[in-house]
Amino acid sequence: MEEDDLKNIWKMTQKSAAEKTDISSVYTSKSTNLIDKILDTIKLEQRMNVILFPAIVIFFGVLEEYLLAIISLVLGIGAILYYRNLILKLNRSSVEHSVVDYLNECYLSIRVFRRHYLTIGVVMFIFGFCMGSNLVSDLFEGEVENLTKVVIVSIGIGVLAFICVHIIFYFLYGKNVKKLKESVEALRNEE
Amino acid sequence: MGKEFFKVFIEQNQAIINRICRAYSNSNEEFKDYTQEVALQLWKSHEKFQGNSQVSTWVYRVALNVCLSHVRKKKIETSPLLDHDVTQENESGDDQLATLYIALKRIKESDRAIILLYLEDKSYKEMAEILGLTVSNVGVKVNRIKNELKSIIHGRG
Repeated sequence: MEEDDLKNIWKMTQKSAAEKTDISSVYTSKSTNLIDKILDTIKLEQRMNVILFPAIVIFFGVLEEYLLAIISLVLGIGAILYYRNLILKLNRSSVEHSVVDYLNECYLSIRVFRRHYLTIGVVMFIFGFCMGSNLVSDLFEGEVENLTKVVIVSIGIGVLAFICVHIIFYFLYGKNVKKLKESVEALRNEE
Repeated sequence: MGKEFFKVFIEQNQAIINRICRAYSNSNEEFKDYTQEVALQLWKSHEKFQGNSQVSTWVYRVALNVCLSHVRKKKIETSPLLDHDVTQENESGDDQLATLYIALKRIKESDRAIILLYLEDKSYKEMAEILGLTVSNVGVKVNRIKNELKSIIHGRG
């Protein structure tokens, strides 16, 4: 088979009748694009932050737990600003970039997403544990008898959260990360 | 671009979208998902398209980006097409095309993007622009992939 034969065979695809895309459903359909899916998840979390954190602050205010209310307020503002930056960062990627640039952005977005979950996962696990065991208020009121134990338990929970998030991510996105990384490397590789 | 104009635009570029999506899909369901997603991404990004490149360059980029980064919903069963003997003699045109598709699906997805643009008769310069590679790198890769394709078609791959 000669080189041009490949093109001649391919030209046969132009003779067949084109199967039409249903345009009417395009405007209402939900994107299955990788970055769009990640963005949707992050936006949903941001909406939850906007609802949940003020509710937590009000809850502690009503209970007259002002220290916890202030901590929740600071954490809430931090989380909302952090999510805002993350959304802006992911929004910059564009499907009309060159193939290499776009695939690289998809790969980096998944890495950012993983780092985000590792951070949030570890912080929330530790915060949840401390709140559940009244450690935060005890700490500020100087009622913690054995601070070393608290630190060790917190680190242990942090490590556990880190491992859990890693495993979840591996099963959810492991294949995609690998595929994208290989594609970018293969395309960039000068032969 | 209004909805009516977009409909005409998609119809004009439908053949390109179909050829790219067909080369990456292993079932009709997957093919429909891909073409739908390409149309959606073109619709979402049409306002950003400023005409710095040809319209076809933009369509190829979006189509390849969608197909290469798509998250597959589930393990797709291999198309029955792939079970054909790729080395049969005296092939008809349709068989030759089927054989070419089979060979295309056996090469790496990133290589498939390069050779698809070559088959679409794009110049190395256009291919470099769509893919984000240097022209010389495109040339070397095309030669290597063509040899790989021919090896598969002739039953040596």
